[in-house]
Amino acid sequence: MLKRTICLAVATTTCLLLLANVSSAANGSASVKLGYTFISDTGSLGVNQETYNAYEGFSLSVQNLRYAFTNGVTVGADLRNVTLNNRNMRAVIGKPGRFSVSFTNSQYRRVYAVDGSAFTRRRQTGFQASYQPNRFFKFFGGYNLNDKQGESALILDHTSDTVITSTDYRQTSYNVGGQIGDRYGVVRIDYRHSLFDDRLSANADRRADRLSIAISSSIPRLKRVFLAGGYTYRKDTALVWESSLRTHELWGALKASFSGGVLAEYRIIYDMTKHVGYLQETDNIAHTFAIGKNWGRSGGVQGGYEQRIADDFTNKTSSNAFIGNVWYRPAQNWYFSARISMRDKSVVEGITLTGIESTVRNRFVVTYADTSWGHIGLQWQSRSRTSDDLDSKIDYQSLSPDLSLKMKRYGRLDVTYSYTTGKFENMSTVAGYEFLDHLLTGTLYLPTWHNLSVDLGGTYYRSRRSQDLEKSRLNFGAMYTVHKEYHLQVRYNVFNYDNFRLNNSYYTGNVVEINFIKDISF
Amino acid sequence: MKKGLFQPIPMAGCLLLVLAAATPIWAAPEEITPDATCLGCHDGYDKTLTNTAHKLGSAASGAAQPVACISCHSGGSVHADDPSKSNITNPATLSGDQALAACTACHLPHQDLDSYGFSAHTLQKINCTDCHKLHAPSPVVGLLLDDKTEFCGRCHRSASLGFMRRSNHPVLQGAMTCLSCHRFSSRVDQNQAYGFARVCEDCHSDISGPYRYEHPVANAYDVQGGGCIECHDPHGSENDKLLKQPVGSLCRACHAVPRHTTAHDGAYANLDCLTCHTDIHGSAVDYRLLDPNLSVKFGGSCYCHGLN
Repeated sequence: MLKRTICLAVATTTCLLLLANVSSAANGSASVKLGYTFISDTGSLGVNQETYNAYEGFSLSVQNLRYAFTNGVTVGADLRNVTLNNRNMRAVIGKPGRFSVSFTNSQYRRVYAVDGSAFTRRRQTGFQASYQPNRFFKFFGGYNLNDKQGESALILDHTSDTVITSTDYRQTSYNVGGQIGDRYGVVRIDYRHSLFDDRLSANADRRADRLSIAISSSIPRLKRVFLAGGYTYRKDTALVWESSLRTHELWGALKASFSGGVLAEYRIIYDMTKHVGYLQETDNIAHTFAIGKNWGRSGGVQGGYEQRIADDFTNKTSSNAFIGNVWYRPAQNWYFSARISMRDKSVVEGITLTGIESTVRNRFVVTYADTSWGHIGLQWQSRSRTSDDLDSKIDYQSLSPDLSLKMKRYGRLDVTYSYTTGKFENMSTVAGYEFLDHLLTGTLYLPTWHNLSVDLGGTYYRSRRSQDLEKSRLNFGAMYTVHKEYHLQVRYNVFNYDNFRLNNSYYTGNVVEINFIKDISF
Repeated sequence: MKKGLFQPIPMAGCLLLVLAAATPIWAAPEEITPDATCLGCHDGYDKTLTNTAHKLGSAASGAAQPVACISCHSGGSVHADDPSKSNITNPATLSGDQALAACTACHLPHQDLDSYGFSAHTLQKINCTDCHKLHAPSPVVGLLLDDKTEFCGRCHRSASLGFMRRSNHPVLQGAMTCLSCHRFSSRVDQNQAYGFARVCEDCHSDISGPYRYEHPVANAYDVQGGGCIECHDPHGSENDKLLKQPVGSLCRACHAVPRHTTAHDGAYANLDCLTCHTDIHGSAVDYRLLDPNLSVKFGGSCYCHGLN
């Protein structure tokens, strides 16, 4: 593993140096970062999210690599932490309108045990390529690998013992397809096949096949009308039990712009799904219609209606939804936006578990911005869902003011606060749940002083009522620049987590990164 | 097909009639203004396009005509005679639908038409140039301005702050982006009977099914809606594993469990639901989603539950 990592790092660095040597024109740039990460922590490693995927050791990163050859071929890459187990790499080479090849690779660790001994690691590798022989045809294909191994814990109440379960699976998938069309329309065909292999239990092995055909078109000489439609067939098969899920989906859509800033949209989706083995078949259909009007960039209004019908031969539900959406910018500094949507679901035939439901969601935003000092804003959101048949109700409210101040002399300050409250009234009155969250986050960017730039920030999170949690993060960063292209960067992060209902559920971590960064131009 | 399923189709017919009656926007031929004329005043702007698909004179990107300044900035001939901001089109200052109309002269619109619900983005204040940077000083892959949380979070603040809560998807750690799950379009609410499970299973493929015995709420295809987000809040939660409620109360949103509190003299009344119902997303062996090794776990025979 180490050998492979070192080879990868050496190869990356060599490629960069070669690129730098063969090119004399200044049409590319990148930042090469070499550093070391120190981690000191105490408490339960299973409770803190931010450091799950942090590793101690030497790191090499190549960030924001952009290079353009004179023949139009461009290269882009972000290769983060190539030498560590939390590597996250993306690279793409291509020529617009001719070809494109992209590659991704990442790893993510999630810790479950107090001492870090139980964790899962997910590795994802992907490759996509496309080729366009001329402007009418395009062919594409790719391969993805999703591999996860390790041990995890089920969620258990603190009165129960922790149960550790093992995970070891690999999912491979490939896709191939083609596209034919010009500026008036495109026909796209895509086939995807994936195979899931659980190395611990053959019961979970399965495969999935999907074929989708999509057609998009703008009408000649009616340039503001777009039509689209398609068909998708998908089959998921459990290999051992011969249980399968088959879906046929047909959809169509129309979007039209009229003079005077009027925009109309219509969509229809018909979906038929059959579960062989579980003996269930469902037909779903949804219609959506919306019409709106814009007054340039100074305002707009939209109204819409949606109907959904779901039918499984025994039971049938129907829902009607309405949406209202308005935004207004009376002056360059002010911006208002409001959105309301509501849905009522009724049971037309039979009996369903969740039964009659009504859902309401609202959002309101107001912002005042001034280019000389920053902006101040307020966002309010509410969601509620009432299930009459279940006798349950959800009520969720969120209020988030934010402030951004910038002054040449003192730098820039970004602060956001969020107050969120939720109340869940479940079937059993003793099992209701409430939360009340406060979240405050902010960063102060001091003005650069003698090539030294400093930022200070932090996040504080507190959840009350049924939970009693506290989580915080403080971060300090400094970067000293020499000759505009050499940077010495130090970042210090402190993480803290406390669950006040569980004495042993706490975490404190100190993470220090020291990086040397070199900006290079090709 | 069941009666009544297609009743709303007449609505679509009415819409088509409305469209047929609408005034078409005819493509008016514009007098060609050479790029050199534009660059005479706007010196250097051609270099900001050199490394992009909009390189002046390029036709490889699929356009029927080579890319020129007037491809995006219409009104060039009038503007050349009387230079003024008011007589030249600047896509960055257009409304969402106007910018869409300008860009789709060459590009097809996003494939967001195949999504469900309402698309608010094109009608809101944003337009194509809010996400796609055309005049780029250095090569920009895909011309995408940014796909990070800070970018989307300016409007979707509640969602972006969710990533700072106790349990979250690792977006702020750089392991994924908004576009890992979201497409360009939006949906009216979370109770969507399509698609969400298909998004989640790209990473969480071990629990995506199909199973021999399903937990109906986990199925996005089920008649009552459902899907992963019925129980999980994908942006962030104060509960572990992104759950909307702790397990004990979450299950009781739909299930009344009176017998559980009295069986075995109430010995297991305080157990977490998942202690026994381990295969909560679906099971290959038991319709109650019970742990196949339940008897081993409790050191006895669970013959009443069919698990010896």
